[in-house]
Amino acid sequence: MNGAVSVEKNPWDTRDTGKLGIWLFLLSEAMLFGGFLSSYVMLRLGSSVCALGAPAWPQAGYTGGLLLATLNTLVIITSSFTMVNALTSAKQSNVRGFSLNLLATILLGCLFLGIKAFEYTAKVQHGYFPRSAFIAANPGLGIFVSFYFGLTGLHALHVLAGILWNGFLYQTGQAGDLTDAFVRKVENAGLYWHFVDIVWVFLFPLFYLV
Amino acid sequence: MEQENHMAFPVYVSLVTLTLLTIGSFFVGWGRIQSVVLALSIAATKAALIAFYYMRLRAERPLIAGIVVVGMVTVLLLALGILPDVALR
Repeated sequence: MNGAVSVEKNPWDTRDTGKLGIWLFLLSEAMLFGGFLSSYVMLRLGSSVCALGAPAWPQAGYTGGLLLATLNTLVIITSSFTMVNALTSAKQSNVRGFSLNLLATILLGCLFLGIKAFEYTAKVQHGYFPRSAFIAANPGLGIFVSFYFGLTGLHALHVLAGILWNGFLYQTGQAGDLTDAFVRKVENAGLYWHFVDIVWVFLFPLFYLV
Repeated sequence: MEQENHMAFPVYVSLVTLTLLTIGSFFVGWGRIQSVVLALSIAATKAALIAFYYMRLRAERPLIAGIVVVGMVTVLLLALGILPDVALR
């Protein structure tokens, strides 16, 4: 015995169970998006109509769509930054900082969905949706457009879930009691929100640039 | 529990810069393959920055890192495993 005190972390510490659960959930989400994205990449690789390497969108409305998607990328990146600040404020028991940053995250999430809805409307007005007359006249683009609405729609649903989750935390945090247990809940919501950000980071170039 | 994330703002600036770089490189007019490789490389760099600094993966215990590695390997298998179907068509 050398006299040194050994402090070993309990591997069954239940305080980290929530975070472990979130990471396992994110693992399953990675499988979900990974599977769809793999199918999408294979579609583009094998297509003679919308081969990977150049935008698959027709010229009409393309620049506007790219601009909106770029704006959305900046919005969701900024929301990740405010989410980090919300967690930092919660750890410091700074109720005002936590509330302001989480509210900013929620509003940026809503802005993301608003821009996405505006973009969907423009796409529909151009006839870029499954079974439209335009798609019927351009066989090969239909499955690309289906993937676009399917994957960006699935991502938008995840953004909506994140907004609701953050909204619940915002409401709960108004009581001003930022306990360790509450901070861990904010951390878990942050992990989910950042994951949603990562998914968009890959959707953006794959659907708008290449 | 670490109280502050000093890297939050530098990472945010890097993410915005990389986004603008992605758009800028698109207008340079690379070849098809180069465009795909460049766009996905920038996306992977941005994802790594978010995971390491915003999701604090760099400070996580090995079990969490293991979960992430399993996820990445499986997604890579999903992505690469179907390529022969296109290549050998």
